Amino acid sequence: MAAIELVDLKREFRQAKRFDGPFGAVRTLLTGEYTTRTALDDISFAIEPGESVAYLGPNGAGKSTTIKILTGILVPTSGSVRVLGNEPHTHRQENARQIGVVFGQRSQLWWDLPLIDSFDLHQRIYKIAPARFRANLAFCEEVLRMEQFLHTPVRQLSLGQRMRGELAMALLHEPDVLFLDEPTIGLDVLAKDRIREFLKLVNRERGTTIMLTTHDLRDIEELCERIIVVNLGKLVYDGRIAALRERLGSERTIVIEFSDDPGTVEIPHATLVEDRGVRKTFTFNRAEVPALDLVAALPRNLAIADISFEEPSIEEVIRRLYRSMETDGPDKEEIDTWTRGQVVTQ
Amino acid sequence: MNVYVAMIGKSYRKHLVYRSEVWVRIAIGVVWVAIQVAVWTALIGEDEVDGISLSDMITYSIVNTVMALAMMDRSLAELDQRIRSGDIAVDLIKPFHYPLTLVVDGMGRSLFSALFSVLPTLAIAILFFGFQAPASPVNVLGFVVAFVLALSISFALACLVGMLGFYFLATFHFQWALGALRTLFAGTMVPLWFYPDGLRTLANLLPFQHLAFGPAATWMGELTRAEIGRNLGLGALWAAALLGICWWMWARIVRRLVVQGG
Amino acid sequence: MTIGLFCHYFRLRVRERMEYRGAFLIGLVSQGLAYAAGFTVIWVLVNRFGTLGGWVWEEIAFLYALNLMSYAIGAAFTYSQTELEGMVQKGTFDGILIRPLNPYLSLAAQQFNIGYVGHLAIAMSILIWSLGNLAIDWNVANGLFLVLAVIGASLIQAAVLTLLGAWSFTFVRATFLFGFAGTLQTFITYPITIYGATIQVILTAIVPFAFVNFYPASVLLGKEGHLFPGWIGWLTPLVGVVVFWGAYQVWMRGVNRYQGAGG
Repeated sequence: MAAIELVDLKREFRQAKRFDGPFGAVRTLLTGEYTTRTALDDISFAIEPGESVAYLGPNGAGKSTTIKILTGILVPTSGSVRVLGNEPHTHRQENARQIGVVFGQRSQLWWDLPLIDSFDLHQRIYKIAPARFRANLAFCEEVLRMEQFLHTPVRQLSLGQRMRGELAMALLHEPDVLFLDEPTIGLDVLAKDRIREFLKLVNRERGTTIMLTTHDLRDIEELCERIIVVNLGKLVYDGRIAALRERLGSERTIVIEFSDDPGTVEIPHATLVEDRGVRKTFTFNRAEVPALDLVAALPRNLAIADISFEEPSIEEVIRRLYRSMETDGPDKEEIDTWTRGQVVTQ
Repeated sequence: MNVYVAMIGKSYRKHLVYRSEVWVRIAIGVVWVAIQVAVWTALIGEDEVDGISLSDMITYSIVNTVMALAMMDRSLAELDQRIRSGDIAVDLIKPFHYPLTLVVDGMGRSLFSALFSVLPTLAIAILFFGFQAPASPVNVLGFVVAFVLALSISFALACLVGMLGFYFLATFHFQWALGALRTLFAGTMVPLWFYPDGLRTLANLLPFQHLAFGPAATWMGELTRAEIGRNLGLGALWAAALLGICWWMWARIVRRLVVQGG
Repeated sequence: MTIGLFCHYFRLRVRERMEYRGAFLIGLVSQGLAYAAGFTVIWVLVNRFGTLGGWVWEEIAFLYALNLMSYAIGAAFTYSQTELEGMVQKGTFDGILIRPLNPYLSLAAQQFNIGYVGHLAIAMSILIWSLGNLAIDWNVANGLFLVLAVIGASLIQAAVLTLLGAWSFTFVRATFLFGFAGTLQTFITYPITIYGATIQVILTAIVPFAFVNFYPASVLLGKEGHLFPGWIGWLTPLVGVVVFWGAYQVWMRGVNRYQGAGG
């Protein structure tokens, strides 16, 4: 049984119509018209237990709406949703016991009280047996190094410490599924690393299914092998990162180190990106000319000391994906066909 | 100058969006008057007490309620919020004189509430309960001046409380306490004539009587010309003093904010 | 949500408030000031005129105490409803829905208002003082009724706040309505017999504020019925339960609305 399963999930919102112009204010007052906005348009995917999935999309794509439906906050307009066999909105409390939720931008901790108090309350709410609670707390305390600030009021904690606390609390009741909505937002590099390490550990050792929305692409690289991308309410990509990178990342970088500065160098099929005398960086399109062919076509008279290739970062890949979703150029069509193919095979 | 006029318009339109609120404000005003009229009917009925008749008290109630509606102010709660959150820094940067923008915003809201809350309430109240015309033009003039003074004093008091609240981080409580003092010493429900001597003397010394009792009594012609003059003079002194303190506190807050960096 | 859990929330709320002891004390003082002022104004009125609608000062003080006490108890659980609009707008209400608890009780527990202890103390003193000066035949039945009437009255106050809170789920702006409810509540400061028939009917059958203090007090003081029979005061506890249950249903439906149409 899949941990999370969505089939043709649709969610529409109604908004009161606003009128412009000098009498606009009066018209808004008098009429009660609405416009309908489709936030989610027939989204379908399934996540198996133990998977760690990144849920991406530009702002307004429908990410938060999906998470809200999965956690039982919102009700879908149509379609089916199941989390660990439960329908979240009809079995909200049951679902709540089996999932953990961390909101990156909204705290669930008690602001003025020591961190441990929030944990204690959590234990009582979720009716966690004392022994299990202590064991889980000890585990989180150790991995996240929380002993120093466990008894500090939450308002005095740094953002990194607070996020660690939120994360620990969400796992105290050993949920099978963990939802994270931008968990590393605003954190410094060290804090982000700690959070990622912890999540990896939890996913590996406890088999907790993780679904994470984020704008930080390093999060994805570290934590998830599979990404699901939505845009304007529609599913755009669902599959392995490696595959996406391979397809979209047809641009490659080649860095050549020369024995001596050869001055201006022209390489067929490649564009100069950076010239540091002895060390020059070029880009080329791997689809047009394979790497080996490029190397074979290098001018013979050049005294080359070293050659290295660089892969495009996941950031670059996603950026190209987003850009393709905006423009309607030939690129987009190509990518559309290909990603749709990916969705089917997955 | 045009900028400020435009801001009044904008403030007016901003308030226009909240349609349901308008009906409720009117309803609140009418209910206040209804309660007072019922109480005075039960207490005075056909008689006259201390020379005051029921229709006198009805007029008193209407005038006070209408003034209270006109003075209902929420921009100062916003001011406190903005000071606390630091958003005020943004306001201070803008090329407008901030306190003036507050006044202008208040004017926009007053315009809106005048059209949609105050006048309708007045009309309904007069329709249901009757009203007394002022005794003479002098009374009308006196009332207008008293009303302006009342607005100024009300504004100044709200400002002071807001700023004090900022120092003590307890605006809500201070406003509540201010409301309490107002209830007791402004004579909104019970005119100061009916107060026992001790309280009456105390009330005369405080600025609150200029918010309700003073203007209402002036309108009704229950004060002689000399008394009107004295009352206005005292009110003007209070207004000047309170506004002055406000100005001084505001300067200090700004300096403090600038020094502390919000 | 068990009673034990609710008590735990209560303890946490007290500890939270005590973090800001200064503000809490200032709050108590200004509360005291506000109610003393309002109380004094009524005193000035009744003192000058002797009786109001046939009710003497001690009896009116009794009305005042019942109103204040039931508000303190009812609103301690439901003051959170006034904050609901803000929670909905900022998305913090989602935090309530994430938990495996009944959302109404969860909200009441999480935002339980400790501040009303001041109101309660003031109301208690006035109640004891006024009852001490009134000639009521006290026995077990009367005493029990008083307790049940206070509970019923508190339920009515809580119900009103709950209904207004439910409004926040459907309409964006609701805070001003609390002001209107407060104004309606002002009617019962005085014996409702001074008002016309329409008002009395509204306060009895539509928004039953009159059951908060007037009817139970009438019954205990042996007052005759006017528009309505004198004995309906005995129904106060029942009215409280019915009205609150209704408000609760509306509120829960409001949550459904939030989940369906909001976000």
